[in-house]
Order: sequence, then C-alpha cells, then structure tokens
Amino acid sequence: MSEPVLELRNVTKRFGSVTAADAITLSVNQGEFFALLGPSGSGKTTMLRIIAGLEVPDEGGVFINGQDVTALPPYARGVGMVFQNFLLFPHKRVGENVVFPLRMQGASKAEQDERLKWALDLLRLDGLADRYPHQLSGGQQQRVALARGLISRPALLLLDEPLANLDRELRKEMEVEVRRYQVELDIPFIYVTHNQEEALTMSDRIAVMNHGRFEQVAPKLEVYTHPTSRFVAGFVGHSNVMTGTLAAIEGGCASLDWNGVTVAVRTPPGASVGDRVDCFVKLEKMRVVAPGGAAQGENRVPGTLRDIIFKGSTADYLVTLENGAELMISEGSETMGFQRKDPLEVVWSAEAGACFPAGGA
Amino acid sequence: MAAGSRVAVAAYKGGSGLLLTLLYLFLYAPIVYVIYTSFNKDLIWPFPPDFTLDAYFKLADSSTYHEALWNSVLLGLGSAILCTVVATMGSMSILKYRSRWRGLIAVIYLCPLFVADLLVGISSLLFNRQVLGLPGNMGSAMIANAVHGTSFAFLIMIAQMARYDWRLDDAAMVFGAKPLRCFWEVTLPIIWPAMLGAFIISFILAFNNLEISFYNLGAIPTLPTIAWGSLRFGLGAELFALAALVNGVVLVTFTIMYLLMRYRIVSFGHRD
Ligand SMILES: Nc1ncnc2c1ncn2[C@@H]1O[C@H](COP(=O)(O)OP(=O)(O)OP(=O)(O)O)[C@@H](O)[C@H]1O
Ligand SMILES: [Mg+2]
Repeated sequence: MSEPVLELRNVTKRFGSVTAADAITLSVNQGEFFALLGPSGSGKTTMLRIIAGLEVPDEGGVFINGQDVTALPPYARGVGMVFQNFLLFPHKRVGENVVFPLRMQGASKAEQDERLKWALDLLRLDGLADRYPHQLSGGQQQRVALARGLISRPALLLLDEPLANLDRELRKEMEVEVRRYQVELDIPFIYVTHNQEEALTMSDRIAVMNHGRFEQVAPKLEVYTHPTSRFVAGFVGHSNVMTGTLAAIEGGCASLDWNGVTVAVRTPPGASVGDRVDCFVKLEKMRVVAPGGAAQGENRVPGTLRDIIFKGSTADYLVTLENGAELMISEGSETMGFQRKDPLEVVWSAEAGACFPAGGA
Repeated sequence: MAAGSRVAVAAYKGGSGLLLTLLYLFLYAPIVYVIYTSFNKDLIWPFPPDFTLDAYFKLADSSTYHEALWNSVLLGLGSAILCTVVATMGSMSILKYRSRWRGLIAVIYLCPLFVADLLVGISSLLFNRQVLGLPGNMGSAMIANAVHGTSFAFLIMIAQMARYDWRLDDAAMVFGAKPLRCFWEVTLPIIWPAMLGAFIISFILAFNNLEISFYNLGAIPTLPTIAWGSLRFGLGAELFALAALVNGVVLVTFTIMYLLMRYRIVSFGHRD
C-alpha cells in the first residue's frame, strides 16, 4: 500500500505521574482492521482521543493521509468515532443522530437524505429513524452509533470498546457485522478492546498495549503464536505458566528445571544457565494421553486427572503432576474416555513454549 | 410484639404528619390570610366574610401601580437574564473543565448569599456613585439584583448539570461541530430546563426585592418600593390585592414547573 492513512510518530501523553501514551509510533494502512488490545488503564482510550483530537499529545505528531493534524481541533480532522457508551444525543431522533456529522459539514439536504438512507440500510435500522435513543435496545443503539460514525465517509473509524456493553450472543453477532462493514467500506478501523477474543476474531493486526506502551504490534496470528514479551504471552490466549531455572543450554534448546520436573524449551534470547524464566504454553498446545500413548513432543510428564471441565466442543483437563503443580489442557471433548483419578501423561513440544525472564510478580 | 411495633410505626407516622402540617400552617397561613382578606370588604377584621373585588378594581385603577408593575417586570427580566447567563457559564466551566480550583470558584459564586440585601444595595449605590460616577438607574439595579440572583441560579444550575455527560460534547466535536455549534446543538437542548428554573427563581428574586432596588432606583417605583412607601399611609386595599396577585402568580408558576417535571414533559440530562 502507498501511504499510510494514519501515522503516529513518537506520541507521548502524560497525566500527572501517569504516562498514558509512551512514545507510540504506529502506521495503519488503507482497509486495515487494526485492534488495540490491552487491560483496563493501559491507555487505549487515550490513544483514540489523541487520534481524534480530543487530547493533545505532549510530544510527537499525528498524521492523517500524510497531513500533520497534531494541532488541528477534533472538528477539523474528519475521522469517525464510535464511543464506549455510544454517546448518542438523547434529545435527537435516530435519524437526526445519524445525519449529524453531515449537517455539521454543511452537506445539502438531498445528500443528507441519500446518505441517511444508505447508512440505515447498511446497518439494518430502517423503520427506527423516528425513535429516540432511549427507545432502542442496546444492539440497536450500538448500530446507530456505528451509522453515525460511518455516514460522512471518514478517513478512518475509531471504535472504543463498542461491544463491551452488549450481552454475549449479541456481541458474537455484532463482531461479524462490524467486520463486514469494514470490508465493505474499505477504510481503516482502529478498534479498541480489552477482550482478546474480539481482537482475534475481527482484526488483521493487533497492538498489545500495557502501561501506555506497545508490547507487540503484529498480525494477529503472530501475536497469538509468537508473543514477544512476557506480558503478551500472559495476556493473549490462555496458557500454562511454568516458572523455573535454566539447567542447561545447548544451542537452540535448553532445559528448564520446573520444581523438579525437567522441561525442554527453546532457548530464550540472551539467557544463560541459572536464569529464572517463565515458560508459557497455550492450553491447546498440550495433549493428554494414556501412559505410554502416542503423541508428538519432547516433553512427556506423568500426572493424575483431577477434573474435566466440559466446554461444549472442547473440554479442559486439569492434571495434577507429581511435583504438585497443576496443568490445564484443552482437548476435543468427545475424544477420550478418561475418568477422574486416572493416571495419564501430558505431552507437548519444546517449540510450543515461549520463555521470558521471570516476572517480579 | 409485631403488633406493638406496628403501633409504634403508626404513631411515628402520625406524629411526623402532624408536625409537617403545623410547619405548613406556620409558613402559609399568613399568605392565605392575605389572599382571603383581599377579597373582603372589611380589611381590618374580615370575619364573617363579605366578598368583593373592590381591592382589585382599586389596584387596576391606580396608575402608580401600573408603572411600578412595568418597572418590576423589566427589572426582573433584565436581572434574570444576567443571572442565568452568568450562572450557566459559571457552572459549565466548573463542571466541564474540572479545574483544581473548582471548589474555590464554586464557593465564590455562593458567597453573596451571605451578604444582606441592604448591604448589597448600599454598597452598589456607593460604588457606582463614588468610583464609577454613575447615577442609580435601571441598569445598575438589574446588576445589583443579579448579585444574589446569580448565586441562586448557580446553585440550581450546578445541581441539575452535575448529571450532564460532557462526553456528548466530545462526540459532537469529533463529528464536526465547532464549540458554539456544539453548545447550540447538544448542550443547550439538554440543559435548558435547568436554565429555565434558574431564570424563574432569579426573576422572582429581583421582582420581589425591596432594599437593593430601593437604593439603586431612588425615585423610580417598583412594586415592592411603592408597597413599602404606601405602608406609611396605612394599609390600603390595593396592597392586599397586590400581595394576593404576586403570591398567586408565583404559586401558579411553581405548580406548572412541578407538573412539567413530574410528568417528564421536560427532563434533565439523560433519559435512561
Ligand atoms: N483526563 C485524565 N486525567 C488524568 N488521568 C487520566 C485522564 N485520562 C486518562 N487518565 C489515565 O491514563 C491512563 C490510561 O487511561 P485510558 O482511559 O486511556 O485507559 P483505557 O486503556 O482506555 O482503560 P479502559 O479499558 O478501562 O477504558 C489511566 O491510568 C487513567 O487513569
Ligand atoms: Mg477506555
């Protein structure tokens, strides 16, 4: 792609002693669905507010389509936004809410009508134009907020946890919908969420944020399979964490002494024998087999089945090991006929583990 | 035991009901008495009743009262507009911009409540005359009356606007509204009931005020000043009619305001 639609260069924003954005550099391309994933308070909303112009960065610049907009007020930036609590205007009808950005731009009445019809059709809101926001369901309000964000053909759309207030069913449905609109419109969406499933479902690329900093920015699959920091490994996906001391290093392979159990791992970059490390292995990267059963993997640890948590298509197996630790393994639910207290073995490959220097906490 | 506690609750309810009734009697009996008397022939001892509208005809005929009424309305409107504008700007800036000093600013807005009318009247007269070299007139009376009015208007505005969600303004700005447009399109349509409340209260305050108006207006009559002046010539029938009318108008205004709010014809902030 030629020029990025959005570029942040070294953007920093402090609130007193809190650094909500710490030297953030980023570029987002045309048609990209970009997710900003991070725990509460990591600075996601602040980032969106800086892009929208609602917050002025202390340092650094914001560029939209190559133009420096750092000093421009929000109303001169031409971005669309869907706010965390929708923020529909309570005294305006749905139609007036949706058409508001066009009116502010001084679009002709004919254009307003035409675009309104387009937006209401796209978001399946026909027939609701004369209602007030408080007369709508959560899902409908959400779609009105989206329609309002999209109607004026913004250069990019910012979405701040737009699905957080919806119930699970509706959220699943809207995840698919939102992705569909994005593909249809072919503009970049910058989608803030603290829900990793949402980020993994919808986005092309994910930035994982923590304490105002980007921990990793990469295509979603890579973030999931190859986390580059301890924080990302712990935050994205569900993992077993094994904390131990590196006992030996042989080139790319190392062995970890995990409370008496020796575990084969990839050698973490720059590590040396004696280091304390955390090894993260995703639940679904481990297998449970009957003792001596067939499975691929350098690591094979005996244990006892404590419980099975049935999850529908999958089940989580809780296995107590001889060193007293417990592992959780995600498997297909109908495959095996294990019972509680059955002896079995947990198997995984060294490749599946991601090791980082042990965290202080 | 259950029966005993039920009796206690009943006694408690009855007791507080009685107390409330006495309080209302104490507050409203004089007003009711004045209204009742204004419809009677005998103003000194209006029992048994002998109804007549004489007092009202006298009031309608009196040209001094006409002029005074006009002046009072003018004074009330001017002062109320001033109060509402200043109080709206004040409460908006405190709530929206969340300054470190907002507590102090709010207290400064409220301080005039503790200054007696008489002092506000005299000091604004002195200040205008000695420092600014201005004579007392309608304009200075409006401003002087706005001193207390603004405090009350501010109290009303801040109480109602505490529920306003300023992120709505953020939304409006992102969608292209400049600050003034944003106020006009989003803030004003939501906060106008609070502004109306502030306006009505400050209007009534200025309309009814005696001391401040007296010192600033001198010979220009308002309803309270001529009512007070005419007291020196005994209790005229017009005074009873006037008091009854003013109280009646205030009562009706408040009833309407209450009904509007009760049935949510106007509502404050978000409709949830
Ligand atoms: N206006 C402000 N004044 C002071 N501190 C602020 C302000 N806005 C944000 N912060 C601080 O900046 C940090 C980042 O806040 P932000 O709202 O961006 O987090 P977030 O990632 O959106 O969190 P959440 O998921 O809870 O919405 C927090 O520590 C917050 O307390
Ligand atoms: Mg947030």
